[in-house]
Amino acid sequence: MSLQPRFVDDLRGRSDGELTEFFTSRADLLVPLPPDINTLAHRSLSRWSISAALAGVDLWCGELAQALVALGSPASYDRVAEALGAEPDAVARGLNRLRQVGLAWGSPQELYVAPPLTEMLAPVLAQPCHPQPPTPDTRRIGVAAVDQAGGDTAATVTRLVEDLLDEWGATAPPVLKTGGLGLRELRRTATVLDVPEPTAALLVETAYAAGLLGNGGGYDAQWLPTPAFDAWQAGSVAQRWVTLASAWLNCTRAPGRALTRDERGKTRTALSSELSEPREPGQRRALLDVLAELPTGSAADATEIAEVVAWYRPLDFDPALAAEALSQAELLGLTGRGAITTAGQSLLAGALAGDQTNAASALVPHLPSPLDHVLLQADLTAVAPGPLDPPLARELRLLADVESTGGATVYRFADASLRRAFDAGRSAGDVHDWLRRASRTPVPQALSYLVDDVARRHGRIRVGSASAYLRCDDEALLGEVLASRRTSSLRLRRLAPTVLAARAPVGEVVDVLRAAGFAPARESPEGAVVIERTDRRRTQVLPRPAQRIGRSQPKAQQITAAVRALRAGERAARHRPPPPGPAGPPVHEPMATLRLMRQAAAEGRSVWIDYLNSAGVASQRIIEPAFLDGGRVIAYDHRRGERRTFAAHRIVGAALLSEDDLFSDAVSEDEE
Amino acid sequence: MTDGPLIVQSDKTLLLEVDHSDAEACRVAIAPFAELERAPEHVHTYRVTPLGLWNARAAGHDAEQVVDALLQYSRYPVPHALLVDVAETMARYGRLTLRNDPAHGLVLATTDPAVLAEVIRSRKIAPLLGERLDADSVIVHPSQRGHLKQLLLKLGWPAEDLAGYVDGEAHPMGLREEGWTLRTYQKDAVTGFWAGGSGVVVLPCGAGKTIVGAAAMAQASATTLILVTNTVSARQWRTELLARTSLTEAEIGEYSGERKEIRPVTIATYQVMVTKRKGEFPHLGVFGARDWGLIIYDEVHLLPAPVFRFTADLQSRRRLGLTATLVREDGREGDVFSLIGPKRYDVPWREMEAQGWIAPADCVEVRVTLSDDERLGYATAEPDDRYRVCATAPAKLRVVEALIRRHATDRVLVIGAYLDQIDTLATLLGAPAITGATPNAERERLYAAFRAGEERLLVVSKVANFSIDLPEANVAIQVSGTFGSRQEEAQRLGRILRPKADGGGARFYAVVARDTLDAEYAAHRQRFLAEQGYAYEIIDADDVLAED
Repeated sequence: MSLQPRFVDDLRGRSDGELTEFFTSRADLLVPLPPDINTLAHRSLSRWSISAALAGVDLWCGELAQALVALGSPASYDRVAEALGAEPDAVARGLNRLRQVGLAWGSPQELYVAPPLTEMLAPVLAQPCHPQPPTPDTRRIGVAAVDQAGGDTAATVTRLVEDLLDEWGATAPPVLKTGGLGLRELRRTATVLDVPEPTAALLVETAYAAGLLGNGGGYDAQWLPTPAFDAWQAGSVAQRWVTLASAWLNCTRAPGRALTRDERGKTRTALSSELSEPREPGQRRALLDVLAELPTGSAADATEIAEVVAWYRPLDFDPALAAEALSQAELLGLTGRGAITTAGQSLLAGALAGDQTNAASALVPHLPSPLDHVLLQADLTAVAPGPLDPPLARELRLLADVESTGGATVYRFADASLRRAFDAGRSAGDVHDWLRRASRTPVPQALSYLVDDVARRHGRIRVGSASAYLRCDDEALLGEVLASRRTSSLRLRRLAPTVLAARAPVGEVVDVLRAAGFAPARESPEGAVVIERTDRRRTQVLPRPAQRIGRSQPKAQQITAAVRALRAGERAARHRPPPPGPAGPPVHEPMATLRLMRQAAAEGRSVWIDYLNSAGVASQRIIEPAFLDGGRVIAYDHRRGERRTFAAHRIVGAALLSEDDLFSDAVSEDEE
Repeated sequence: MTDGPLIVQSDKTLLLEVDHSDAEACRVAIAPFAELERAPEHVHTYRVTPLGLWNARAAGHDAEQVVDALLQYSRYPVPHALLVDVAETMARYGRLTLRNDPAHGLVLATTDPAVLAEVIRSRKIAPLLGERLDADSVIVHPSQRGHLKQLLLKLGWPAEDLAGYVDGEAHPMGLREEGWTLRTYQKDAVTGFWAGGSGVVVLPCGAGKTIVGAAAMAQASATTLILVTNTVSARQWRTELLARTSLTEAEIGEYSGERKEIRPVTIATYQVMVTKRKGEFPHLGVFGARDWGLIIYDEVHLLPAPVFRFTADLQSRRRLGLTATLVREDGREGDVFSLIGPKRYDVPWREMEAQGWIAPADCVEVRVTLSDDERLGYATAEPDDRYRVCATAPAKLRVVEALIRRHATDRVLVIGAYLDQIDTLATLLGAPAITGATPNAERERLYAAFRAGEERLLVVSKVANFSIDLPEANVAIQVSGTFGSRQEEAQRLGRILRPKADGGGARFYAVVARDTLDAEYAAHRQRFLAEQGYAYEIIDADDVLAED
């Protein structure tokens, strides 16, 4: 008996509302839109659709489905309840749900299970069975404490992300060839931010997810803050936190996987594609939803929360990820001391509604109130006993170096830090004023002295560039030069009563001054007047080209070779140059060529060669080698009638010629 | 947010806001486990280190107390990781104990067999151990008691030494409290030490460390070996012991470069102990020369390495370390902990000062502008020579003269590092100079004359820095000093911190050449003093001269 008609009837009998619910839990059936109920029934019984439906039901429904498979169709509610030894109410609730999603149909008395399930599920009667989700042991923390902890963390996280991107804006780390962030760069960043490396990875990933950080692109790509960072920075702390927290909540990446090793034992790097994980947002969300269901201000262990999530979605959850995801939520301030914060609740609700204004306003009251003062001490430190007003913090970071962070921040004033402030355009007066305003207690004398000391030395020596200078004991004359319209092209500037600096080069300055009717003299670097004779120009003193020092006696061998070459030349003058063409078979192998050349040189014989010049053009020549010098053959070229040097490696073929060859050839040529 | 005075930083430092109404209570609560690192005017910095936590554990505090103190006084939530870390670190102390087993002698025992298994596996420790008795204990070669403790500390499992001490050769002696009495804190220090068996007492210069030593000897009433830094210091110990205890001259021996006496109470110098001849230390034998019942280490922060090595073999003797600071320039604080013992008593300087035991000191830096010639000379000096050139600039001389005229009725010490400068100053000021070349007898004569008020001005070099007792000096003028080490500063300040008979204050001048290395080093000193909580004032030499 076909079961399908009963299912078609079941579906057909559903109200619009019931069908809507059916589609809600079987979203895959919506595309393409089924033309009629018959087709819908067919499609919803496909193995693929059934397994998707099964992934959407909780553990209890799964156990009931297994029981139905075990008991065989048709079964009844009572029979299932009896077999599992479970409460009839719970059984009815679960089986109704199975019928609703179309994994079973019929009536409580005559119940059929969807046929594909008989192949997909083991026929097991779960003992014990789990009609209810587990209830985690909760710890009562208190809403106020939770929100306070969350608020502190939120403030810290926004500060850290700002510091991170400020740092990278100044010294951007390169994008690895594989696309991620180098391990060393991550370590450096962790040190700069004073956080553990995994936290640094989370911050980097969160900033990336929020679109505040991007791959600059190009050949030498770097990780750089995006323009969105500037907009983000302008927002309030609460808004900034919401951006970060919701980016994390929805991002399809697993930041916790950074720094772990992959199957091949290689460390996964942050910002790389290895961290991509489409299931992450769903799991994260499920965990936080469970937390949100706990009594307000209560926390539970990650493992217990994972168990609850595992009950709701047994086939679509990896409990191993729970601890990591929850610790990330804690680090980002969605939870405080393990319990979800008020702002975190709003964030979850807002994420569904697509509006996060409530989350921001829920956070505001719990952010630590920023301080407007620091404590200045005689050991040249400033202690900010809590988070500072951002403008105050920014200025202090300019004036002093951060020494330790935590609940408070300790800054240290030093020569270098104050110099940095002066370089940024602050004056000693500015700094004194600022210190007086920022401190509730009198500014320590040592600090005022330090500011004055550094200010006194700062900028006392000024450095600029000039191409030439003009000096003259007569201040009036220099005034005249400066005032003259004809010298304006030299861009002169008075450095001292008796010194002008020019941007134009020395030669031009002299020429222009002469043209303007002055009589300048050139000065040497030592200050002496350079005597110029314009008719005899010389270069500056330059090093001479390299020369051989001393003279070595020519070797006897060289002399004989020279003589032999001369003789050959003379002989050639008597005869016409011979045509190419060897008598014997030519050699081609380089070592053989060299041997042959050496032999020819020693015996004073001529050689036919096939030669490639430096442009690669081949020619055939008759040469009489005189001697070999390294890879070169110095020989008399009969064709050219002169001594030449041939590169041995470009001789591609060579053969010895006898005197007869030469002679007969010459004669035959004569005859032509 | 609570409103506590304490802020916990991520680098395990604690910031204490001293103007807070709960600051004092908080200080008392955290002092046992956190070392005071800096004490400037508003916010004091304490550091939590494993050694500090173990010191606290050795003193009977438990992790719960530490965590409670942090939670109670902290202004912001304390990072959970830090609390866990504190608890774990403290739990490490005492898991292993050294004790005397009636049957097997010295035994390393544990309450946690896993820990014992871990340390036995260590390749360095295995050779020091004997037969494994059961899961919880193993025999230790008695000669390796100290070495074992050192290694265990390095492994992070410091052992509690409950093996007890040999009594040593009894030698009755007592304190003679005639015209003086033991101060409360001195009594507490001795009690703390005796209860703990061995360990270190931290007292500021001038707080009467010698007397604490004498009281500990009276308590032990046994033959005692006292190790001090140098001969002058040895003589002072001797004088002090003769004055304060029932000991007679015949009972006290000196073991130094000059004399080699071994008597029931023997005072030896570090110098002679570490003198090497043919690659050996011939004088370390003094440790075994008698059956000592007590060994006192003066200035424990200067204890030289060879003495450490020998101390490792003396773990069955009671050991008392005396020092003004646990900070060692060489970072061997851990060896002091395992070989001498944990900290048994500690009072911060400012505390003693508030109680009136130490004269308050004002610190003044006088900035001298160098003449143009001097500046040029400084600028062209060889790098090795630059500090000497600026520190000994003649421009300083007039300023020193003016300062001395300013303190015409005070007892003044002028401290320098360069012999030429010391000689010049001595001639200029018409005052005696004490340098390394001055014979001991002459030195002692001059110190005596200064104490008696016959000399009101001394020019001293570095040799005078350690352990001389000039309680009447109330003005010190430092003209040059090498490289501003933390210790040197502590010592220099110590010179003038001794309580004054008239209860008056003391003053410390540093004459510094402006815009030179000298000023840079002075900045280090300034930081140190400010961190110690001393008011530091900067004045211009011209003002001093104008006033003059």
